[in-house]
Amino acid sequence: MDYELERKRRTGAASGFLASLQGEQARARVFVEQNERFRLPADTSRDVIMIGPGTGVAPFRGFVQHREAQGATGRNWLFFGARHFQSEFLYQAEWQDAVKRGVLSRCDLAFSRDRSIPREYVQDRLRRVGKDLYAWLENGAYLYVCGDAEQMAPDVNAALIDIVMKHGGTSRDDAGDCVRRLADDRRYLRDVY
Amino acid sequence: MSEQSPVERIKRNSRHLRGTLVESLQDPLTGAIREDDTVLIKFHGSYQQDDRDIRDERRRQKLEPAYSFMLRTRLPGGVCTPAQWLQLDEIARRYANGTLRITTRQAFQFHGVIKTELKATMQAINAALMDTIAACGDVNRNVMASANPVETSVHPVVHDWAKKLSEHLLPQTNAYHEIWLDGEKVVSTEAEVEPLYGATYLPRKFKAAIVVPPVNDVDVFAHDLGFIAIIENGELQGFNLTVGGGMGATHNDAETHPRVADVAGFLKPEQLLAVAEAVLTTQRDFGNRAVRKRARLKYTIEDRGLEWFVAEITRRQGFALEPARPYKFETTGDRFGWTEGCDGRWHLTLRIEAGRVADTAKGPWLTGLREIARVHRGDFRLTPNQNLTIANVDANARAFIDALVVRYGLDRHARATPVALNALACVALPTCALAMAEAERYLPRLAQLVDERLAANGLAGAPLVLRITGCPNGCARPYLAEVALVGKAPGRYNLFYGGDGKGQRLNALHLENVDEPTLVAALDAAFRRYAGERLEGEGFGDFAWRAGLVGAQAA
Ligand SMILES: NC(=O)c1ccc[n+]([C@@H]2O[C@H](COP(=O)([O-])OP(=O)(O)OC[C@H]3O[C@@H](n4cnc5c(N)ncnc54)[C@H](OP(=O)(O)O)[C@@H]3O)[C@@H](O)[C@H]2O)c1
Ligand code: SF4
Repeated sequence: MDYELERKRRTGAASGFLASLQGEQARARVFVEQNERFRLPADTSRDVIMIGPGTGVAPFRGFVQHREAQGATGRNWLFFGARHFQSEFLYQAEWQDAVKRGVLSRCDLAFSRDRSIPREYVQDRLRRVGKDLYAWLENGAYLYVCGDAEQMAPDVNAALIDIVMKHGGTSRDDAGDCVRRLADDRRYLRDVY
Repeated sequence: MSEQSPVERIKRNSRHLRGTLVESLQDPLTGAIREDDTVLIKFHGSYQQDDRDIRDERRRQKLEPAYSFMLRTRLPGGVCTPAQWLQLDEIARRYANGTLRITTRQAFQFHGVIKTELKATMQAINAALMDTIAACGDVNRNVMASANPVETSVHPVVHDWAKKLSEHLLPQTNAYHEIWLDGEKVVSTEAEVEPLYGATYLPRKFKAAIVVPPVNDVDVFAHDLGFIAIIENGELQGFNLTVGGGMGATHNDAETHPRVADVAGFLKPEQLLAVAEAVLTTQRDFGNRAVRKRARLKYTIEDRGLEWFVAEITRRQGFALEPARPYKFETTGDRFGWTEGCDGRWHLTLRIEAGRVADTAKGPWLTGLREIARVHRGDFRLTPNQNLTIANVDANARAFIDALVVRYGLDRHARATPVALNALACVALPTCALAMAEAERYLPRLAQLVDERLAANGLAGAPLVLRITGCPNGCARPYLAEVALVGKAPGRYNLFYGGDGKGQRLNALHLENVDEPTLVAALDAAFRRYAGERLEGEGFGDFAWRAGLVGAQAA
């Protein structure tokens, strides 16, 4: 990918790098970053909550397809965020279809730079629907987070603590413990980068 | 009931046009509204559209089509104030695609409004003291009226009747106010009265217009309901009633066709509303609700006969029409440039190709008209030919307006050829979902090709009414043009010849499915004969019939 926009040259992060490799020495080392924990629950009756803004939504396509193939009876809930609804609602048509067919029980969206809707991040959505989210967790739901490690993942973590505090009626410390326990129990799993 | 068209079911179940519009607007997963609601939103003056140029690309990206909405104002007679113009200009730039479009029904149209801004846009339009109620849908649409009659003193009278007629035939449902303007909910929808329309409204769209001869700018014979103003000694005596006109047709379907309205009789001004109501309710009760493409009034009249129809409206309105009075039309075109009114004030009609007021390569028209609106003290009139009249200018303000017009490149009327000046095109691609071929985007080239062929045959500057639409639906009234192209497929058109330039006679098919080279060759041949064989003062449309380019002798 290589084009000019607003007088600036734009190249794709991956394609641009590959294209920049020169001559005989043009080699790139490719490896898979393993994350064996980031797997769907074996018990298909469990509910699944997926939080994947931006490119973080990628694994959840597979998750939702897999759950459908499994005939999982648990519910699936996706949180997605991006800058613009029109241009960046990744896999929009697939999610719409999944909702229509009932494969996705819920789909919450946060768009951060559209002028006509409140600017939100996924954690803002989480807080808005905290009551339901807490009920899903109480009901044994698995929770997955994928995407930006630096900002998003910690912010989502903080939101989860807030939600447990508010809807579980606990202190901040206890809520923190509760969220940590979820992680220890491998019900709160992350694939962040 | 089962044989009724699906649209009838949607209307009946809509609780007077509410449907699930509120839910549709709130659905964050899509920029579209639910399918049934796409039918209902038309009654609220809006169509759902998508950018067809990028449909495939978005599908590959797994994105839904780039949905947006067209919004159309209701503006009887097409008159607005400079203050309103400024508000609409702002809406065009803030919520729409920077274009203020003048429609062939003398209304404003905004394109590219996204779902999440639809309500704000509606509210902004209402803040400009306009609304969009019934601008589309199976109801009486925007009522048209001659924009700049020769008999200028009649304009306010006729405009007033257009407003009254529009108000009188307006749906009464509170749905519009509830959904868009946060109006209070009317609790019992059952009790809600829609006295004129009932729960299922009309079988199909319904168009009305008032015309002041000799300029048939509104194309009165293309409407379901028309009134020809009869003026004697500068005074309005009454109207001739016309019924059953309509442009829409479907390719290769003999059941459908355009039709020129019948003149049914004469009525007094104070009888106008009663007659209009009688015509509308007759169509409501007898129009075809099973087959939508046969649902316009023209087919009701055709199927049952004009005599039956006149008897039916006579019964409903409670009085008989008088015999029609004489009238004469000379042209459908606008009177460009400055014309003087009877009160010594002046009207300047500008050419706005395809009605598109925008800042483009042609010139900063949107900006220019904004500047004019800031200083203009009269009003603006949208013409049925999608042009604009800056009306009621004091003699001493003319030079100032002229300077602005020149500065912003709005003086096309002074430069364009007669063909380019009077041509009409519908929106078509990429906006209109029904379009089969280009129209507006092709018009500049088409007008040039026609002019070149005219010039090549020694006919440079000949006046000729040229129209093009992207499909046979006929939004730019192509079937009344002397030369018309109606889209069949990308780059392919049916070519029609033979309107009379006065809007009183339909043209007829000359060649089917032509591409550009075939079109150019056909025009060249036709113009060569026209140049050699025409009679004194004979228009091309008249010639086409006499010479057998269309009609029984053709083909
Ligand atoms: N380490 C790596 O190898 C690698 C490779 C590629 C990408 N990344 C990172 O991965 C992340 C994902 O990139 P992306 O293009 O998919 O999407 P992104 O840039 O993260 O944007 C997705 C959405 O997240 C929003 N966002 C910004 N800060 C947030 C926060 N603190 N919490 C929640 N949402 C936030 C963005 O809003 P606004 O932009 O409007 O603030 C945007 O609406 C980026 O941060 C990128 O730098 C890392
Ligand atoms: S004539 Fe056809 S293509 Fe043109 S605007 Fe009307 S419906 Fe669309």
